[in-house]
Amino acid sequence: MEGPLPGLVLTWQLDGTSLFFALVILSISAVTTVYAIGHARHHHGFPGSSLLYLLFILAMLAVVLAGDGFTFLLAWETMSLTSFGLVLTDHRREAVREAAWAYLVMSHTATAFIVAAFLLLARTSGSLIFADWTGHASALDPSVASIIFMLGLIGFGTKAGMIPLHVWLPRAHPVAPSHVSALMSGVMIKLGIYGLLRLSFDWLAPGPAWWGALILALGATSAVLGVLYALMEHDLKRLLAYHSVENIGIILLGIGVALVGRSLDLPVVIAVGLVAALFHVVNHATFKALLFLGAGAIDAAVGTRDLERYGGLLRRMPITALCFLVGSAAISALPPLNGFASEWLTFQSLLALGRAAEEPQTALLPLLAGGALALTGALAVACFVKAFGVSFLALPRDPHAAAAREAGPLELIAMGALALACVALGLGAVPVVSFIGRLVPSAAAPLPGSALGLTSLGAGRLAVPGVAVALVALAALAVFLPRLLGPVRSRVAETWACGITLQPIHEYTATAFAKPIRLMFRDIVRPVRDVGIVHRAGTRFVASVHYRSHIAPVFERYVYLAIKDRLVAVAHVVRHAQNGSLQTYLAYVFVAVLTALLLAR
Amino acid sequence: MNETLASVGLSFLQLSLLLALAPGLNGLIKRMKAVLQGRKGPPLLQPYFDLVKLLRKDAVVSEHATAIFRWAPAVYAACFATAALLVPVLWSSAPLAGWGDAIALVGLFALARFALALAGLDTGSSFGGMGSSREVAVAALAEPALLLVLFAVAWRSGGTDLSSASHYLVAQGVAAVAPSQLLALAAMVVVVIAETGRVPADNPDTHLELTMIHEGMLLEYSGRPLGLLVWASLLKQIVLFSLVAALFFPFGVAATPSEIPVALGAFLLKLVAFAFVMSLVESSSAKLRILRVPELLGAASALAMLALVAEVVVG
Amino acid sequence: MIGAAAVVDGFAIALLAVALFSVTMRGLVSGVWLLVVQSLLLALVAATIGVSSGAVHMWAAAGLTLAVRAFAVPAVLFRVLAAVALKRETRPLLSTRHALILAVGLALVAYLAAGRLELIDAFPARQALPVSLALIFIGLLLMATRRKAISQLIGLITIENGIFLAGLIATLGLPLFVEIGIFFDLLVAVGVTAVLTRRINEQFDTMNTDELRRLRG
Repeated sequence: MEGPLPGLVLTWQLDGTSLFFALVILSISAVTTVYAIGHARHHHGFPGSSLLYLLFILAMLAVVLAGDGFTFLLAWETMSLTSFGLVLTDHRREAVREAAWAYLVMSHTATAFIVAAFLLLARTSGSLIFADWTGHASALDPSVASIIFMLGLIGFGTKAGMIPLHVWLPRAHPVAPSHVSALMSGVMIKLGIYGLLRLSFDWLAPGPAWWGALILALGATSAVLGVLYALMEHDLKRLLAYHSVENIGIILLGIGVALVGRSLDLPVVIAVGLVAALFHVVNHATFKALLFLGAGAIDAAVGTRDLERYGGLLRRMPITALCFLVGSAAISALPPLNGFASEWLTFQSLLALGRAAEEPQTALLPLLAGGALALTGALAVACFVKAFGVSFLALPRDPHAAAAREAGPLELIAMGALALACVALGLGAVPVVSFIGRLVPSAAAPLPGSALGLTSLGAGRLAVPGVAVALVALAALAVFLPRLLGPVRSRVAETWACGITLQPIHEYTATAFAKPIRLMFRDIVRPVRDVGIVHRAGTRFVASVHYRSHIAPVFERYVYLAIKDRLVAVAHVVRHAQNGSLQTYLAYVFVAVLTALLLAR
Repeated sequence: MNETLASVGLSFLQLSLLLALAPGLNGLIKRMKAVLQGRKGPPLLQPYFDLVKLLRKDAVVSEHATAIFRWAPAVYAACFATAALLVPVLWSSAPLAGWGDAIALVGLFALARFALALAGLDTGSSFGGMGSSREVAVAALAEPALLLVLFAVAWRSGGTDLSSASHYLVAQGVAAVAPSQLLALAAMVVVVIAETGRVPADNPDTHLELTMIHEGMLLEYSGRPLGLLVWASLLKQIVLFSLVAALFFPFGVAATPSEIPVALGAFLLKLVAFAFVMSLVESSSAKLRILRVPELLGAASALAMLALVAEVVVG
Repeated sequence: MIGAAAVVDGFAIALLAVALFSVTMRGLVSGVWLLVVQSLLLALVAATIGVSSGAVHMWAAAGLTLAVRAFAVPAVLFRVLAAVALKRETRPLLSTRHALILAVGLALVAYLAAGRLELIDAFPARQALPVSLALIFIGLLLMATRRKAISQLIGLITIENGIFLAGLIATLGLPLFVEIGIFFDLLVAVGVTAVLTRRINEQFDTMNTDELRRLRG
């Protein structure tokens, strides 16, 4: 490598892509900080946790502003370590320590892959500066480029929470304090997307089409499995964490489309795919932060993250409920909110690729992914009907839920701001999308200006404000027109429960609610059910029935444990080499020196 | 400005037409079903009497109900009313063409389901929860199937816009008939059956807890809100039928104002035909076990996917 | 006017739908009825090609299809079914759900493999070739996953139908001589299986071909 000790000088860059991600980081962390200040009365962090929190935000900013590999890695590691520290906030609990360790191990394995990719990039270009990598991109040997792509995909994909590298995410995000979870789920995992974008659009020349196809397939898998696992959860924050896996999948669909388009040299497809992905980055950051903050408020009010012990919170926390409802509708991609707008664009990008593809194989994959996206949307609706309905509606299932109090003003301001943002980003989808298109010209390639407007993309047209106006006007009509038939009164009475007084135990629980879907997808989620009946001594009368239902941790068992077992087996073999005898070690050194001499000949 | 006024006017006309016809269509299906089953059946106009009666009646609201329960009927009705304006009926373009496409239509269906399923949970009744839980599970497969069908049919017109698709089909005439649409139509029929809560997916005539899906969510409603919900469900049914008519049987659609009477006649004829098909299906099949319904819908999704692939790959 | 190619495409797609439907059906009687529908569709395909191309042997093919595939073969099968007790395919190796998913996947593969293949001199029906490949795959799937001899025969005939469809399209129909040979083959296969089924049923009170293993010396 040339130059005086590269890496000792930190270099920075600010282009459209960096600016875009920096804006996301800054705006979301501003809101979560307001929330954190209000929330401090519930959550006493350890000494210095506020400092760590600020350092975490700065590290995320540094990641997107870094101009060379060394600066990037420094910032990246700072980000991982500070977030590790923040996950450990509640370190007295065993589960928290375990989750934090899983996170640390996965993070560092990921970093190792990124370092390997960076070293390969630096070897070819002879520099660590990102601009040099871009300049030398076409000089890279295609097979080396594919290796770099795969290394980067594993490294950045782990941070993003892409299946099958997602296992740390549903462990680490729930145990952190909610404003940290909001930042991690809303913003930090997007930096994996940022790395992937830089890698595949800046640092590498257009590669073979299978790069994009692989990302499409991984995106579709993450989206469907993410939402399915979310449906199976009844820990509110884990449910939200699995939804992050789902939404990363949706973002990856857009990126995959753009990447296939780049390989096949289809500028419009690149533009639509990238804009869809980046728009969804903003939208997911908004509603996921909102939902995590809402979950934090509920957690603080009820004292548990277990959905089965909530209920009836709408009466007790009306403003939180309203904000959470907006977030739920947005993440379920319901019109006229922002989640709908970006999923609409993602659909359009998939169809655009299917239309532009010459080969049937390239047409088939985006269409299958489109089917997966449709399934994801429908399952997300089911999941948030469950999450909102079971927490906020009906009767409280727990005395703590019955005694819940509304969150404080700062928390409500933070959540309200995000809820407004969800509405605004949906209604203002067209200007936002054209802003994104202008901001990321390096990535979005030259594109016809008209291709960006939501209203004029191909023959699919959408005017979110129009739909919103129609909805509001017609809802008003539906309320007022029947009044022409004369006044009616409404009388308050008990809920019909077949003649007995309604008890909380009669209500549908979260587990029961998801049961049809659990059975429909039993091949994938592999539910396990234990029913135990205890009889009264000497009689056949039932004293009590135990019912436990859970799903098999497929990835943990068949992927990670398998790898771990192999590693342990290898370690057992290697242990024979570590026999503690000084002579043996000297012999190793001798052999090593000899080998080095022979190789360096 | 004139354009806006025109679309508001057209919207008003189309919505009034569909709202007026929706109860009659259901009456027709019930009557045909009864005749097929050897019964006399209710009068054709019975659904209108029922609706008027419900809309004038006082409501009983559960003590546990919240604002969700009170607002869900309006949201539900607004969703299908908006959807009714996105589907071309008598003309080859919908009143609000350009405001929303096939994806928006499916999104509106999802919003309606979201509102009603929450309302089902709101009162704490087990029946409501059961209905909501089943509704979202069935829809989890019906919605992708519907979307894929719409993609497959709209593909040739170059996008996802329903009015462009209808326009294309009308302009091409018989030449637009594509074999892959057979698969799409088969899938669409299953989706319509599931979305309108008919046998074999659901039973529209019962409140038995073992079978009910849609009715379970409505159980706590009474009086005027119930009337609104019933009318909106009927609107949903006629919107789906109009969608089938516009995308699979686009003959007789008006191009000029003078052809509107013919178009109206053709539309009514298609409705009668669909009503007959529905009554035939309902009379000749038994309600499926609730856990078998997903298999039916999964098959529909698979057919829709094949239709799309046949359309795209072979084209 | 709809072109003859579009009509043939329509029948081909209907054939695919019927074959997929038969994957979901466990009843043996309805399985045979679905075969009748398949045969009628095939005869219609042959007749359409005959009308549009004026080839006389296409009419012969249509007639033979009707006589053998739509009447003779099902008649034999119905008689066998009437003689044996079992009416349903019990315990197939794959559940209906999985078999259907697999069948749709196979159909997708068929479209990928043959979707844009252009045959020289072939009848210009572009759905027919992928569908014929899909029929062969689905027939193989049926044969591989079902236990009853009759079900396996249904699979075999589905494969046959796929080959026959491809033959009708490619080079505007096989020579009549070859077609008659195929029909004869089919009849012999059905006859042999029918006799075997009745004998197995008499001997072992079952139609499971698994039981044939016990015949090993």
